Amino acid sequence: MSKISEKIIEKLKKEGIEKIPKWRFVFKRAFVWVSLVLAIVLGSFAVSMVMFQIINMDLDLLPRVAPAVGFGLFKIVPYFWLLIAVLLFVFVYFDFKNTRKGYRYGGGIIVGTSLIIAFVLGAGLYFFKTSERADEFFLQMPFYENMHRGREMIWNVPDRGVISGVIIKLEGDKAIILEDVMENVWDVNIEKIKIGKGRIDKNLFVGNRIKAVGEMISPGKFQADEIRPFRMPR
Amino acid sequence: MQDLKNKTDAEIVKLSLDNDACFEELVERYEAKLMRYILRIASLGKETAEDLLQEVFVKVYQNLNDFDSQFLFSSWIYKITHNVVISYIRKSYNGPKFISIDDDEFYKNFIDLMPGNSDLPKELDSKNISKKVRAVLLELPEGYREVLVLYYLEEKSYKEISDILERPINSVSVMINRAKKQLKEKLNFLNS
Repeated sequence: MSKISEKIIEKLKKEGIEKIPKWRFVFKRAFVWVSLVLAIVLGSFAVSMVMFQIINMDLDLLPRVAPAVGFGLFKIVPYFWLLIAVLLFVFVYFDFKNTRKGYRYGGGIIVGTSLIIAFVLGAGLYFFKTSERADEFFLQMPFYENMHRGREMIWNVPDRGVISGVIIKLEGDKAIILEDVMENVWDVNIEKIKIGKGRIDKNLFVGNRIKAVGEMISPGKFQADEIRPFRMPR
Repeated sequence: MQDLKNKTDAEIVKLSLDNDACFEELVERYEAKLMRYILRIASLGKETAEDLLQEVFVKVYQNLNDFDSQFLFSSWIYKITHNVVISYIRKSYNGPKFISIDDDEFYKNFIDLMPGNSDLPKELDSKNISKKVRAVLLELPEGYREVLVLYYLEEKSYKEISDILERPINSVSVMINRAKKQLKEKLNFLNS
């Protein structure tokens, strides 16, 4: 044995250095993989929420409301879910790099694969209405509801012919009473509404959140050409 | 113990898990190689290098259960050595910088081993070659110096270097090319 070898072996014995048990390595690796899978699933869920909120925007109404809301238009970007998705996929990137062979893959491959998984899984969750149900669930929470209300504002521009709010009363098939997000009450005439895309009848019930598209007659009075559910049905 | 001489590193690791005496064989197989590697990649005195070498073997011993036989043991032990040295360099950032190897052959070999060295100035064949290469190596960024050492002196493949430095193979190849380019430019500059 050489001098250095002797020193090393002596040090191991003298200081009572022991091997780290295998279970600790197994546990550590399992933890990395479990957190990776969890982050991918949650990240994909966040992507599905982004999809849900973007797809459910009435993009055709944007030109109508845009001049009135100006930069307020940026409120429709689902920042909350976008931020969560980005944070989770940044975590996925670093967590994957921590797997045993993670370093073998370049940043482009990891980011590209993560994006594909996020979109495929996200689309799946959206398709099976998981994001819609989750959105309804989160709306019961005050912080989420407030955020949502902020976004809702841009769809409430009476002088541009769009109001949105909750139906508080039905007056036969001629009118509805609507309370908008600013808590103004509107008498909305629905005699002339188009049965737009087959979705009107289903949406006329008390408590439902809708958008009325038409013309403001006077403060508190609105002539609707079209009634849309606040969110597009699929 | 004599039987161990014919066994592979991975087999000895397996045996070492149950019998500490077998670990001595691993130490003997790698102490000289790793000592040389430490001295080649870092600007250290021999005593510090010895301390780091001890630290490497302690880490190897402690982590024996984490060795995965899908990898080469040599890549694994070089990776641990790389990490120990880098961690030491980062901690002692303001420490003295010098290359302790006095072996002129080391630097001459460096140039001889580099393919396409014909575009280097002929004067480099002179006696001063080792001084010049030493000076230039000192100026190279840590990572570049290390890939050149691993590839040309430790004779590791791209895949092994990728496992040691924990970088994608493409990135290793790019680093080697850039390091070679910088080394040549600096040698040319020094000679002009």
